[in-house]
Amino acid sequence: MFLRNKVIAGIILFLGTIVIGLNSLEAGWWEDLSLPVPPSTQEVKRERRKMGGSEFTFIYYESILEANSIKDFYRQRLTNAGWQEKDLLKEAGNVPNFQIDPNVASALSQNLNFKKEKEMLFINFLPESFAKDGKTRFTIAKGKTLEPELAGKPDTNFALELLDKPQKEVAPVYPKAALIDLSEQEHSSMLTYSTPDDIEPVVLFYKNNMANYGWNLIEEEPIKIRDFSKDLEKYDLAQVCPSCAKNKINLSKSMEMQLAELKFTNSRGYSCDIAINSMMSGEAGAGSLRFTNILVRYDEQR
Amino acid sequence: MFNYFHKKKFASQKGQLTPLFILIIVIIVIMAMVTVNLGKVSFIKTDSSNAADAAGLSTGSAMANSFNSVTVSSARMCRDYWSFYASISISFGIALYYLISAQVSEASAAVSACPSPCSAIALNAAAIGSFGSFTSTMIAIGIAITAFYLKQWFNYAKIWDNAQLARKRALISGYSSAFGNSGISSKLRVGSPPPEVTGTEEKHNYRDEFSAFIDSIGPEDLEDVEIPSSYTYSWKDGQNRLHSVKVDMGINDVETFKLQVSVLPYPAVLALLLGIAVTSVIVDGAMTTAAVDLIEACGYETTCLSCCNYPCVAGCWACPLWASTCVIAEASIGTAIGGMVALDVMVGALWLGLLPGPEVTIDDPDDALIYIVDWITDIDHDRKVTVNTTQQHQGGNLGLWQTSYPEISSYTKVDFSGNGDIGDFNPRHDASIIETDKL
Repeated sequence: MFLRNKVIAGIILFLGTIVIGLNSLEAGWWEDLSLPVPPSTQEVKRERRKMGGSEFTFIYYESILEANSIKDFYRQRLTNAGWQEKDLLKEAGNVPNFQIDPNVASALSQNLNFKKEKEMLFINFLPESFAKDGKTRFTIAKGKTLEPELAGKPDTNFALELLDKPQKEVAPVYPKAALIDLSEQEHSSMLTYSTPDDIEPVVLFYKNNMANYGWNLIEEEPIKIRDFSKDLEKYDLAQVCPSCAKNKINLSKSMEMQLAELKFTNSRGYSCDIAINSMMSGEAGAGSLRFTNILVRYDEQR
Repeated sequence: MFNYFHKKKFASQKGQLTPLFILIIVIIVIMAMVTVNLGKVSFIKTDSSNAADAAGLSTGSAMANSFNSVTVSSARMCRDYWSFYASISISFGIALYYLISAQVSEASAAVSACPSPCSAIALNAAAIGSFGSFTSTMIAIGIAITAFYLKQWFNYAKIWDNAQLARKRALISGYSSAFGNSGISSKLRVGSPPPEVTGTEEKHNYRDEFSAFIDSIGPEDLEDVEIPSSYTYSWKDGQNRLHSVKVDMGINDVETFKLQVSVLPYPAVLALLLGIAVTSVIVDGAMTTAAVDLIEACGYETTCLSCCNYPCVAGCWACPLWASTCVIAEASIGTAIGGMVALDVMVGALWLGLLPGPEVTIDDPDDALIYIVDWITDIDHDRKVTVNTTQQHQGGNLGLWQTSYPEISSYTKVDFSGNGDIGDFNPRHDASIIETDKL
């Protein structure tokens, strides 16, 4: 009798474990499937990105359906799933003495925004006029709301960091640099990183550390400064940004770019080129634009 | 019978055939010699034509491959561009979500600031929070744009470099095919010249020298080498007769690219990003000042009981400290809202400014540094290759007879357009001969 109770208790415990396990598994599936996909729509790419401390999943789709049908689909399905649509145009219309900029209104009309507790969901449609094949391309990004306390902290890397890692590590990564773009083929790859540091230590880092990966420096374009102020003088900013002129916004014309290139080769004859750029401006308040981008281009073609 | 004819022959002066026979034989011999000469000329012409055709097709195929490679790379740039635009549009959506949230909160704070600064504190704080997230998102957008700009420019610069190298390789391939099919090798002696042979043209009478000449057309490091539009190989044979084969190749340069660029030039994008950064600092400062003043005004509200019926409903205007602080807070909120309107304008201009805009024609990749390159639409090129081969062979002195050969030239024109189209991302460039000279 005592043994039978023990067996029954064991079975209950076992079944309970399975149920809990399945439940959590289903929760995982649900988490993944919580974004419904309209019919005749294919996922093209998926990537995870981190921005200002919050993680976002970006899913790129293409569909033979029209954008409006897809919008209706998501409005219905997401509302049923507890998401609340946030109509930014309507909200902006409620702000007293404020008329939203026509550019913004036009661009926002390509977007759908939803919110559920601390989660945000954005759907963006690429302009139809550019689709040569008549397909509708849209992107869904889902993530938690950003943490405002991070804003303004000088050491924070605000890059839209890509959380997917490259399959092949071809070159050293500058300390704390965020990977922001990655494209890999069988015999080549291109990676872009960003760091809040200045360009000089970055160039020095690659000159000193590429040898650890078997690369020899064969050519160097030292840091050169491209002054954009003369280029900017050619453009009438009132034409570039008519709304800026209308709103009496004076855009600065003092902007320079620093650019450096390093070319490496290894014993197999493969090449690894590194291009580094950074912005400079004497304007007060331009500090948030002080970051350096690092492009690593690896190619096995001799 | 014989006697009859013999007698008849001498009986009449008619039918003196011997000189006629001799004349005919001489003519036949001359014709035979001429025929032999024509045969040789015909061989040279065939070699020359083969060389021109082979060179044209080889160069055309190499150029077609290069253009196909540009097409494939451009298609990849286009895919990358749309992927970038999709993700950056999401980021702009997020940024505007926060900016409009901040505007809504700050507008509510403005409405309630002076009647009730205590209630405006929370609204202003909410606006500060949303605005902080807007700032973070805009920094991410700035980084993403500059990184994409660098990537696309670098891609284009690499494609441009590769196109220059491919043109040089195509020329080298053409020269190798031309000289290799000119029939030179069969006319040369096997091996290397012995030490006693010193003259350049005498040395060229050996096959190893010919191989070395062909190798010298294509050095390993092509980057800083200019491939000439003409090469000549000349040699003296064992009887000191001079021979030469000249090959002229014509391919237009591939330096001028047509690029699809974004609406805004890159410096204008930077100016907008800078404008957004500077205005954000002003807005943030104004909201922080407003927060301090609102807290102060709220404090006066509780201490100014004597001059208003606490809790104040329509403001505590009788209290000078409350009134002045509240008005200052309201002004700061107004500054913040004004800044946000400007931000709204700049963000909109920046977002739409990243869409594909004009097509520009660029000769030098450095000139493209002022644009955000979306993809390559074309290379300004006629898609033609022309080859001319000319052979000269000195005749020999045969004692009675001095042979001489005319200069023999052949011409081939190849079109490598095929069905390829860079702008339509159709990598089907293919080489075919469209014109030759008549044999």
